[in-house]
Amino acid sequence: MIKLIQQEIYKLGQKRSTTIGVSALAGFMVILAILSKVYPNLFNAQAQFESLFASQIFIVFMLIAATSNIMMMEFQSGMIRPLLYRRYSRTQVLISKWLVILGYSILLFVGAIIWSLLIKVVLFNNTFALTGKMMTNLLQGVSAQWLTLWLLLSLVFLITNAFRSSAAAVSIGIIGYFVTYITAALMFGAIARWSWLRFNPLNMLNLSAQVSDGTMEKLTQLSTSGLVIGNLIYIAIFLYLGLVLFKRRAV
Amino acid sequence: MSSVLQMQQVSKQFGQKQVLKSIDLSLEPGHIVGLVGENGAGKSTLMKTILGLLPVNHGTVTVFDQQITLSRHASLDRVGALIEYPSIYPFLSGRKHLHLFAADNTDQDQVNAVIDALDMGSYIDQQAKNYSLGMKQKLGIALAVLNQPDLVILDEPMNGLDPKATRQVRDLIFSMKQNGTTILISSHILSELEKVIDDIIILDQGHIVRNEPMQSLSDESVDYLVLKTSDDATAKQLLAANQFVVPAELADDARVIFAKTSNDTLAQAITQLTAANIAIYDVVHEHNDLEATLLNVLTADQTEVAHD
Repeated sequence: MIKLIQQEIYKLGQKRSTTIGVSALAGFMVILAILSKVYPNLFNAQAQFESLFASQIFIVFMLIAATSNIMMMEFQSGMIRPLLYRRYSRTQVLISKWLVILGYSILLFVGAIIWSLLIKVVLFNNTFALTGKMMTNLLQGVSAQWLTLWLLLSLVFLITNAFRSSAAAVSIGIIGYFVTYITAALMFGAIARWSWLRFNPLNMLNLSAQVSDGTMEKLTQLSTSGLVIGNLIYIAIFLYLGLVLFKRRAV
Repeated sequence: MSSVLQMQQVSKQFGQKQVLKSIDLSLEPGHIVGLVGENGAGKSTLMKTILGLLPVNHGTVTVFDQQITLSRHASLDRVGALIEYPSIYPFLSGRKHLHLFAADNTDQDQVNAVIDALDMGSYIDQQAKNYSLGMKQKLGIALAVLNQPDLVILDEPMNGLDPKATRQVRDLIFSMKQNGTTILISSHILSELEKVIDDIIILDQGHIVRNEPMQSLSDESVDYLVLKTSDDATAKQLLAANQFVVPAELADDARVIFAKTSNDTLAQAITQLTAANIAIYDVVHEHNDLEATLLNVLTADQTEVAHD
């Protein structure tokens, strides 16, 4: 199993998209920080810091693409066969991919936090002070974002195993990210009318919004801990369904 | 000694199509076994069931005394394979592929030995996406044999290889056999296959029609004598009238051709033609190769199936 994880890390590290993506992310954050420094009236430095210099949406797209790719490259290149006819079980093969994406997602978010702190120290040391409350809010927000992102990633894992389509998986992942904003009014209206709808997976994507704005609870009709548990349950369901499909797939 | 591979009553169907029918098969250690048959006979499907890539509908596949299923196949640790076509990660070089798939106990010397054996040194550090079909094929074979497996399964390994590369692969196969490796190999290039195999399995429409040592199949093959004479038409009539055997599949052949049924067949033919004042300009001895033998076997099997 460790060998499988090492191999997945090696493949991820060897892909040019990984290096370019991380570099672009770091560069984008620096550019936004410089703009905040030069145009403080347009870009509020503290707000930018609290949103990790808008890196989260980048990270979401990078991880959706990486998740889709970590599965689809095996099917598209035909390497799925050499991967599967070794001693490892299919469960081990898929779990190794989950773990690598899990590690990559943690690394990106932690990296973005550390990079934001460095930028803050270098460019905004005298602009605003870091407070304990600010860091708590930041960490809570990032954690919520990370969890809801995993709901999308588990769906991407499921779709790649079900349809073997990279385009479908990436599309649904990205649409899923925006769908809460697009359908918010409709969904909250439906939840207000039929309260059992509060358990639908789209509602779980409101976790980030609810963490930053507690009044959202009236709309989602679930407590924050309820949303956390809901996310975890749906993640487990989607990953499990993906595993079932992967184990049965003839290649 | 543990058995390398055993298939018992293995059947596989895709929808309504029965692709493998009650396959019973056993491979002996250290043998090179050829798997031949027409397109769609079930060769790749059979290989995929051995490798746990396809579930079987009935029967059992056992590799090194462990049953193979989609989810459990630990004994495949001792198996290397190249199935259908060589697969590559386009963003990795050939060498990085070998490092990626090298087992913990496979050292750098072994990696280099495989690279040398297949003469891949000139391009092994280039990205595999730039490889030709032959280069990819050699990389696929290299990956299959890298960890010195006890059973190697090669599906059409000679595809896309030039004569030099074909010879390198053949030498590699022989050297692995000398180390006790069992090799199951399918190929449509029968002239090449018959140079390396000890045993042959002929698959037709999902069932095994022959499974025997290559030598016994060779013993069945027929030798022909082809003559060039001053009057071929009269020579053909004369020989036919004197019970010289013309194989049915060559009845329409314009040449003077007949089977060598005994050691003095040629002497008898020369005597009779000379007596009839027909001059003999040339004699060619032809041998039924694996291709012709295979076609005969498949034709016989399909005729039998049609009659059933």
